Amino acid sequence: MTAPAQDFRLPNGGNIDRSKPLRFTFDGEALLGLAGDSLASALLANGVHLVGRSFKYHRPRGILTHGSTEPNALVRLGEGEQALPNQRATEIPLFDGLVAHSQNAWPSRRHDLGALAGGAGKLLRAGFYYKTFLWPQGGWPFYERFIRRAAGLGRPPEGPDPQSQDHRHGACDCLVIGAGAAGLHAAQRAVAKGQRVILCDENPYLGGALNWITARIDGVPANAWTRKVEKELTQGGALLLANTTAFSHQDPGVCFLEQRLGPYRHRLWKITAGEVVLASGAIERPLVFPGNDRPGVMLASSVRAYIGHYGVRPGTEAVILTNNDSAYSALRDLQNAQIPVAAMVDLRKGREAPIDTGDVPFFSGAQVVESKGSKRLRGVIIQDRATGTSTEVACDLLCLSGGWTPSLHLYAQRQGKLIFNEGIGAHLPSDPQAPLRVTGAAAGEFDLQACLPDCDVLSEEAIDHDADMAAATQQATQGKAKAFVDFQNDVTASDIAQAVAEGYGDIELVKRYTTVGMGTDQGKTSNINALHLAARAAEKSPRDMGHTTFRPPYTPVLLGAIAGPATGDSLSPTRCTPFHGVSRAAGAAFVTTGTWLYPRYYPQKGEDMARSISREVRNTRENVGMVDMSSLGKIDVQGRDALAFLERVYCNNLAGLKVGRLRYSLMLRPDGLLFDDGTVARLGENHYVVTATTARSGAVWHDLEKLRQAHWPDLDVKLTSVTDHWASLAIAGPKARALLDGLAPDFDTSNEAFPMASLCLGRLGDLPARVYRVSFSGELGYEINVPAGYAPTLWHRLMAVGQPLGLMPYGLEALDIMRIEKGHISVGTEIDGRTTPADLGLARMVSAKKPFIGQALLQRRALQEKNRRQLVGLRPLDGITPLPMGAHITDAPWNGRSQESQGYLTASIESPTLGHPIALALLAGGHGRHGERVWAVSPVASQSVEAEVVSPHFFDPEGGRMRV
Amino acid sequence: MTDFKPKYSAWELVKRAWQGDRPWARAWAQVPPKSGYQVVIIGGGAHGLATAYYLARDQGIRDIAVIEKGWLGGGNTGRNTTIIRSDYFLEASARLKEKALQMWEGLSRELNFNLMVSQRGYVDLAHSDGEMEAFVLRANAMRLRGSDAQILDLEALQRRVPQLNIDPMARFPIAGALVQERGGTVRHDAVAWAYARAASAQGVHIIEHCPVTGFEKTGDRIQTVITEKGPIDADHVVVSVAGHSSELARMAGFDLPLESIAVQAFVSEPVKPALDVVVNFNAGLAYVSQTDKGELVMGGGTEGYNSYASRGSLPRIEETAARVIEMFPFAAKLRLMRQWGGIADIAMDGNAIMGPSPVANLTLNAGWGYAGFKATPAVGWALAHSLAKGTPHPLIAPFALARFQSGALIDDGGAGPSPYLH
Amino acid sequence: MIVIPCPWCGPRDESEFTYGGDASRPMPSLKNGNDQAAWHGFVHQRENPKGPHVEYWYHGGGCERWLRVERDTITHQVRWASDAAAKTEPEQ
Repeated sequence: MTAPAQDFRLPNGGNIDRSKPLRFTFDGEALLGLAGDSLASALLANGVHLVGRSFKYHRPRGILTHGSTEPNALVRLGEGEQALPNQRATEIPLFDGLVAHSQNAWPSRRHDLGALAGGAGKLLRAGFYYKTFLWPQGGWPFYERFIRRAAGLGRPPEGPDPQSQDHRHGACDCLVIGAGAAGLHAAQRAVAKGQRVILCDENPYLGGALNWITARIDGVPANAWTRKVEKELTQGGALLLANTTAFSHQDPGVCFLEQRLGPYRHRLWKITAGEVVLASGAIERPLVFPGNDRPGVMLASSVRAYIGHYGVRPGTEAVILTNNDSAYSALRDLQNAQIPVAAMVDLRKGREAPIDTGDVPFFSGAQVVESKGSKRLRGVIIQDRATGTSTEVACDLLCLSGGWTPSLHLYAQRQGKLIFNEGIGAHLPSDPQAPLRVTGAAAGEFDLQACLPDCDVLSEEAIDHDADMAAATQQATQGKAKAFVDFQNDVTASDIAQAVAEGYGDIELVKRYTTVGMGTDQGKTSNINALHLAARAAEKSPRDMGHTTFRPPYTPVLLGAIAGPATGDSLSPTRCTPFHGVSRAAGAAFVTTGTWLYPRYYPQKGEDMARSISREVRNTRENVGMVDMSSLGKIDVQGRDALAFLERVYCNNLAGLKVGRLRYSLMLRPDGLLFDDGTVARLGENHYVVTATTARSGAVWHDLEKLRQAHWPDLDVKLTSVTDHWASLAIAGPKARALLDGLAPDFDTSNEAFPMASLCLGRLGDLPARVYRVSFSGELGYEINVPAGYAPTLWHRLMAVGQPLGLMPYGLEALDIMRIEKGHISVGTEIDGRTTPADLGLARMVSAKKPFIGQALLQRRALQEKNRRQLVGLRPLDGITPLPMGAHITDAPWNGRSQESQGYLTASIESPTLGHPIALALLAGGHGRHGERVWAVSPVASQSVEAEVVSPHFFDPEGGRMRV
Repeated sequence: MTDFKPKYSAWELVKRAWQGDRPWARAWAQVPPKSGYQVVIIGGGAHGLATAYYLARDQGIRDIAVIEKGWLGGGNTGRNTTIIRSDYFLEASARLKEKALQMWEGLSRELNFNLMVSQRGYVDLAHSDGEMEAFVLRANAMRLRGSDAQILDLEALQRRVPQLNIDPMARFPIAGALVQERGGTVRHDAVAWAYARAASAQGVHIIEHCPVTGFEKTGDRIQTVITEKGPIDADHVVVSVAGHSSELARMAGFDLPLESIAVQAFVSEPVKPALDVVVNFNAGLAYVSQTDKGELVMGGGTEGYNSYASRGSLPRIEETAARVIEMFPFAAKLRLMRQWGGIADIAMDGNAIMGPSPVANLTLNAGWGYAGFKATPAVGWALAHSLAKGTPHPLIAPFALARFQSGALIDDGGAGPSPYLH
Repeated sequence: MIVIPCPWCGPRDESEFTYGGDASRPMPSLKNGNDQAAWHGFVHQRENPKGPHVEYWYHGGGCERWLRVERDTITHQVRWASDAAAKTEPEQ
């Protein structure tokens, strides 16, 4: 298939590379463009004006602008998993093989059935959906299905992103946003001062309009001057980023940029800058009049860009409609490109044309009241505003200029105040120096010479950009056809008037009620027009209307670029214990708990999870098992006041704790509720090591350091987090001592010399070790701590020594089952941020002899009530039926409707040790209810099991097994 | 029933279009403030407006002014992610939201305003067997109260939300979900507008752009509310100003156990239907749904530090976006279109504070954090009842300010007195 | 994104820090272990100002010191940061 010639390419001019043709397709049609084209300019070069359909009425729409402000020309770029919806054709640099499709049209953009909605336009006015679809009650989901299908723009993307998007950090003395004349000048000055400079521009080219206006700077054409400055800046060490949009600047000195590295690859820049200079220029506004949305209607400045920068003929016969002087330059450019101009229409009354319009018919004080054509503009009706006399003029290109809006999005994001300027009909910075420096057209300076004070400028561009907004708003309310304010969301001038009439007159309510400015273009071309129309309807001055909030991003940013590389496995760091490798080799099945990847169980050949866990428990109770405890938080506490410090932060007494001993301890929150449990071990006179649960270890560390540093700086105590320094392996079971002895300890392991709750610092063979006699399982047990690097050695030695003893590793699940059999509490289930020590049967641990954190508020009335939910054990009455997981406790079986819950199960297992199901529960007044019968009900599982309330200490309640 | 003039209906739309676009009347009347009212409600968000409406409808109190410093619904009413649900664990928080959910179901007809109540289902994802157990516990709590809840295993979840990434090798693999099918979304702005219109039709004065600058007190009572539109006497004052509660309390002479923290949300560009439920990711926090316009609307946790800047910040958005992409990989190729923040006032147990204050005739409605929108109708209804009867309605009694002194906390998250952790 | 001028490490990005809440109220003495009113005031009551707020930040990604920081809650502009153990606020 051969591509057609680019019939609408001008014979010469433009900054495209005519030696490099590029192939592309649009809606399957093969076309040719040139290197340097945007997709929009390439489409125009091929005479394609109809690009897509509008959101609500499915009106045929073309290309309005030449950059990021485009509301209409949105396409789906690419195919399959690569495809990106809603891409602005005006912003996509053309590349060979580009594939694009139009959106929101069915069956095709030329013949779209959705356009039938346009016929019902009067019913679909602003807010119509709030006033109907009310019948019958609950009927909305029925209507909603149709509305959802009709709404939306592009097709949702499919599958994961085949590209990886990256993040980059940058720092500079001066970040200049916008590389038009003012931006280039600001960058030049900063480089001259020796500053590190980053200059970014959203366009693929630097220089903005300097690329196509006919001005001469320092004796050379403006675009040549731009290339020279680019070179100088690069040589001066500046980083120039084209295709890069500064989209968010909210906090002092911090700016976020999105760089488009290619059609599908984006990079997020986080830049810290000493100074931020905003030189983002101004945005030309369209004019609002009936039928102002046909393909062929284009901003005057964009017509100039297509002619001057892209060498494209955007039409064969043009009309220009303006309310300000700037559009007269478009007249000159059209004439230079030998595109006939059928009329020059100036809304302002009694104005002389600022330039010689030659033989072009000139209408002063006239407006356009109607347009002709459907999929392409065919003509306009021009009406004298005073006499009402109408003239029909044929044209296929209408150049609009409704004035200029300084682009102050980032200034406003950074909480800069705006003031309305009557002359330009838009807002200006109230202080162009603060909170960031605004320069050039963004600050209302439209004089090129003023933007380049160090240069010799020869320019015929209009300096005065004052616009007649009264005439513009008056024109908007003429005629019967729809006069569009927001092209993308199909918001018309009468929608705005209606919103105001219905009381939605605040500009923020106008926006929300009509959706003006809420499209993907964020209202860049519509917000100010909407403001003037709303002011007119409210009979207020636009100044008193205020403005809507400027919300980031300036232009839409790919979510994948925002997330960057922190997706998939990198969503969060994965912590592994020092035993991870040996556990894996031992066949462990792992589970994610918080940030940790933790051994859950160690299945043997042919075992499922339940069998493996059950075996691990039985083996530990009968022989000996070992479990990785390395994720417990460990904090080393030293100093003369170490004991005083610990006495304050734990609610139990520690005063009697001798060197070489350790104690189970509880930590409360300042409001008296239970926060964490762990052990306090005294290693030396002024040396302690405390443990925190895995889940709370970070928070405990933060809290203890805060107390030490901020509240009690006078205490002589130092804390060191040693969690990662020590590998901890707990061995437990009747044969644990024999196992420990097998490691050749250099200390006496007898029960007398090394009793429960004591510790030995010594060696196991040649391994330096801290061994604590503690029990998590209720069995004789030791926790062996060795420097983390020795973890595999310790593991292998234990396995070797332990083989004849029946040693098997066990995981998190078996550990949990054994603690439940013992009635030990755990963070997340019983320690849930709502329980007190007394609730969990630990009232005796709370010291009455010393002050501690949480003491005062623990005494609050409601925390002392007798009927609080208290920890109990449950046993099924029939002795065999498992108590449903997640069950609540009631006085009768589940009745299928509603019932009062007296409490709930925190854990439910089938005890391998006891051979029957057991559960832990928090039950209202539970401590006084042992022996009562209750029901454990799980409506979601449709189960009700009758149970007896018992002590939570199911197994070896006297603790004899761990003291042998 | 409220007498709406005109009543909204499809017929009325057709008629007016036929009559050459006959204009619609104002949705709520524009009135200058009187010198005094029986009840002055500060805060023209959905909560304040609903309170006014139910006072007028149910309690026969019509001498009410709702005063709003900016535009109606401009605070957290218009800044949330529009989700409604009642899937809470603790009794007090769940009962109130369940009452609200029941009220939402008939509210569009009652208020003669399409609130787009879309009970498309709320899917809460569990990432481990342990979390699933906690979800079963919560689902059972919901069912025991007569609400709806289902537990979906992975297979059932995949049928319910086929777009969801359930890769078992994911960083936080999904184990299953708790689904409340009656949960869903409501068009948030419309709630403020509909209550304003209905309250106005009952004679309530709605006064926009009227910031409160102070109070004049006699003893322990507020005599006069000082506003930029002049002094307004009040027999009773209701403060319903979300993130700005501490500021108003300070004017009235007391401190509150609250901190104000920004919560942000953001939307993608609109696309054709891609997701028809609300889904919440729990390894970290991220919730996402698709609006009727086609935008994916996404939210996450709080900013994590005190803030009155009603805007978001990128670091939080990065995290939330990453989690959304983890759930729905296609979202990586959508673009962030708009981000914003609301100021959430979060109490020391993460739950609301409603009822009496240290000032005798000042009733509080504060501390809603990021849970306020879904509770709107029930809060307005129960608060109106409490005001009229002079004693807190049982639904809101547990939320008394005094609970921080008594210890009768309602801490659903169990995070304790650190609002930035809730 | 907030930049905090750590007195030990220099200006650093907020991602290196952990927030620690209000730092405007001194902790009551533990000796008044039964003074519920004092502890209620410290643990629960907040000024929650709109504007300058003195608060704790922990520089876990740097010097591991707790800092007291005055930050404007509207603009996030940080006015000063000092070590939490320092008795006095720095000169403005």
